[in-house]
Formats: sequence, structure tokens, C-alpha cells
Amino acid sequence: MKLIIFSLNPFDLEQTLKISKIFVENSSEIIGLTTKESKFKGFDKVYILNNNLTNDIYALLLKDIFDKERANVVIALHNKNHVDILAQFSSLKHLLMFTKVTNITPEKDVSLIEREVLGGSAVLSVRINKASYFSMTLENKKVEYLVANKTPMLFNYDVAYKSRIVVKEVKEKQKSESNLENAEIVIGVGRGFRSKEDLKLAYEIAEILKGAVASTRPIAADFKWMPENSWVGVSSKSIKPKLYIAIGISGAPQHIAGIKDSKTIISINIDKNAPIANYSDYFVVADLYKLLPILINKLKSIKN
Amino acid sequence: MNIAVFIKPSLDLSFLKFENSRIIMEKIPLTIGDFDRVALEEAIRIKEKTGAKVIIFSALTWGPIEKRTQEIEKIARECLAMGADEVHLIIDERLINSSTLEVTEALHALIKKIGDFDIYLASEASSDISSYQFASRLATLLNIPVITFVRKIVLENNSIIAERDLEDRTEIVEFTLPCFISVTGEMNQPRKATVRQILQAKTKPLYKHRMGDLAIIKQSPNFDIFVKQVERKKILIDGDVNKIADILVNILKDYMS
Repeated sequence: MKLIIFSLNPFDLEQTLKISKIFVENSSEIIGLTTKESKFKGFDKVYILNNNLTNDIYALLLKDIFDKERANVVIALHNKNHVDILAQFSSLKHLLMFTKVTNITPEKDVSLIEREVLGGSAVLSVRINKASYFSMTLENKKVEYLVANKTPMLFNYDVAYKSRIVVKEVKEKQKSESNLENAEIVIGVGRGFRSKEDLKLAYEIAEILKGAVASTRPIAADFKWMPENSWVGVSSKSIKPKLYIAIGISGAPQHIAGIKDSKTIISINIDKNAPIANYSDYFVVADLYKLLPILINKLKSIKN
Repeated sequence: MNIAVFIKPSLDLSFLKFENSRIIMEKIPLTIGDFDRVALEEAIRIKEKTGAKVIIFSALTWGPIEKRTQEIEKIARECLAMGADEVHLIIDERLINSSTLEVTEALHALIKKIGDFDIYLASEASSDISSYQFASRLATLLNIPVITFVRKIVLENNSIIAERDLEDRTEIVEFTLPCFISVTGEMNQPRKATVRQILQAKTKPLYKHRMGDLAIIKQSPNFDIFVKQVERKKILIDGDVNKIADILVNILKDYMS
């Protein structure tokens, strides 16, 4: 089997090889495709493409090299440009593609491929033959894997395909202020709060615990009490803090999907039948308006 | 001008039903995905400015086919009520449980029969399976430029200026028609149909197609969907709020630095 590892960013090429471990071990030749020369380890060959092309052209160049090398599998890290490029390439080649794969497990003659579906609340798994042709984008994760100590031959590859798309301007984004994804402690607020002003109770707890504040869809999208980038759930972002404290959140599956990977979940709800009970390590039945002021005082006093 | 909008009949995530670790697919109703509505809304706004015709394409991928046929028709009527002019559905056993590969090839064959379009619109991904491949694959089959993750477009004569929303940056790109655009949720706020529009929608054309002699070979392997379970302690804490606060302080102090 011949494997192509694709990365627009040359510094991600080796990481992509590491998370593709199972396929790497199965391959007779490993070919890298990226946009800039760098020190690459673990590849037999690396093709260097121009670094200012549009996705349609990268798809064509990928197809050229895939055909030329008679490769079987193409793997890239999951991001918005890679998924577009691989999907265009896969359509050109009539190939199956798996998006944002989270887990690959080798079995006898097949590989078990898993990815999240239904807004992160379920896992879809397929078994594919080890000899089959396909492409996939992989979710990034930390892996311990010693890359083979071989230095690849580098080739510049350039064909003057003409794109029908012109990029006129690129604007770097400001780093998200809320920083929810990196927070170790997150306080989530839901419809149990009666007004925007009352959210200060949650913010006070967040301040004491040095945590961030997240919200459910109604709080961010419907009531607009908090910015949209605080919204955690199916159509928005997922978080995996060490501790998640859900306050006044009933536990709709859409929100659960975004918090399910939290290490520990504490929930505070006035309704003892709230569905969030089933997703909590500690399920507190209490009126948040009575509990939180007392809790804040007690936390402040032990902090001093 | 003709605009094609692609609507995926998606499992309604607000009705997810679990039995142990299995998801009971047949019990989850179908709906229009949130971002698919955004794509349709954008098409209707262009129609209001230019008099364009808005044609919906949709393919059924969830079984059982009899029950789902009624649901996809309801979805079609909803699109017509919002302002679409015509709907083409593919309802065929061979597409049930298939993947984006087969669906885009089937829709490509149908589009070729129906006509040429200037703008093709779809959401960045379906809300149930979220393969993120649809627009890129279908545009490639149609041999037209595709611009994904678009959150704003400005249409000028025969060209479009679009804003692409990527992880770390936004790009302003320009291209001429025909083109395929996949939209993100931020693009607009989709409208709700009025009662009058809902009534009018009943008389608008809705066509159901089978794949006929279309040679689509199902490549996708069978899949399995199960619930990812995270074991939780599920310790209930209730009673006097003062005591509850003490218990919580005791738990939280380990997290205080």
C-alpha cells in the first residue's frame, strides 16, 4: 500500500504521519505533500507544491500525484481547507472519503473507522478493507509514536492549472477572547437564570475558581444574554474541561453533545427530573437563587 | 437566473432517542437542517432582488422508505412555503444509508436532466452526518468552482464576492457564475413562512424521481451508529441548601489553586 499524507502547513506534516500510525505501519511507501520545504522525517518522498494556490488547484495536483504514484490512501488533518480539497479530489477519483475521523482500530483484514455524528452525540463506525482506496481527514490528537528516522527526497511539483477563483484579501482572526476550549474549569449557564443580570452569580463562581463561562443555545442565540462564542452544543463548539458546572441547564441532547467529554460534571437544577442528572457526576437539586449566594460566600471564605 | 438549493432531510437532533446504547433511528423524525435553511433563505433573498427562480433538490437517505416519503414531502412543502418555486426529490431504495459519494452522483445525474443553474447553494454540512463533503463533491462533478464555508456574499452582475470563514482567518474571494457555495450558520436569519405561504405551497410543483436506469454503484460500506457512553457517578445531592453548599465547597476546593 502507498500512503499520501497531505498538509497545507508543512509543520503539520509529521504530526499527521504520527496520527496515521496504523496506515503508516501498513504502507510500503509514504509520500508527503505540502507547500514549503522543511525538515521532514519518516517520509520516503515529499512533494513541495506552491503555497498560494486555491483549493481546486490543490485537488488537481493531489490527483496528479496520486495517479503518478499509484497511491491507495490519502490522509490529512481535519480542517476546513483540507476537507474541501480532499472532497474535491475524492470526487474526481470517485473515491470514498471519511471526514473528521476520531479513531482507527486495526482488525484482521479490515480497519475500523470511527467518527462522531448527530452533533457529537453518537459514533458512526464502518469497516473498510485494508486494500481499498479512500481518503480521510483525521481529528488531531496527541500520540506517542517514534517516526522512522529516514530523510525523504524532496521534489518540487508545479503544473500551471488555472483557477476560476481569485483570493482578493486575507484577514487574520483575533484570538477568541473567551478561550473556552482551553479553560480547565467551565461554568455553564442555562434557562434556569431569569435575567441577564442574574448571570453575575455564575461569573462570581467562575472568578473564584478561575474558570470560564459557557452558555446553552437559548442564552446565546435566542436571548442574546451572552456572546455567540460562549455557546456550547451541537451547532456550536465542544469543550472538554477538567470540571464542568452546569447551572440551570436541563440537559438537552444538543448541549450534552458539547460537554460530554468533560472529566467531571456537576449540575445544579431545581427540577429533580432534569435529564442532566444522567450525565452528571454530582447532581444537585436546589434553587440556584438560594444556593449560589451561599456557595459564593463559603467559597470566598475558604479562599481567604 | 436559476438557483439550485440542496436540502438534506436530516435526522432531527432535538428528538434523539436512545435505548441503552442504541439510537433508534426509525423513531427520529426528519427535518431541514439549521444551516440548510440558511442556504434556502439566501436563495430567496437573491430571488427577491433579481427575480431568480429557486429550485430545491433533495435526496432521501434514511429509511424506512414509506414512512420517510411522507416526511420528505412535508420538508419539500416547507421549502416551497418559505419561497422556493419547485422541488425535485429523489426517493430510491438504492440511496438509503448511502453516503455523500452516491448522493452527489445521483443528484448530478438528476440536475443534468432538469437544466442549468447559475448559483448552487448548500449548507457547509448536514446536521446529522456532517461529512462536509457535499458541495465540494457535487461542484467537482458539475465542473464549476466551489467556495466552501461562506458567511457573506455580494452578487454583482455575473460575479460574486464572498467571505470565507476559516479557523484562523477570513478570505475575500471572487469568482464568476455558475458557481457552488456552501454556507455557514452566520450568513442570515432564515424566515418563517406565513399561513398564506403555507397554503400557496400546496399548489407549487413537487416532483418525485426514482433513479431509474441510473448506474449508481453503492461503494459505501454498511455503517453502525451507537451512543458514546461516558460513565458518570450520578451522585444525588439534595436537601438543605446550607448543607449542599458545604458538600460542594468540599468538592470544589480540590479545583482551587
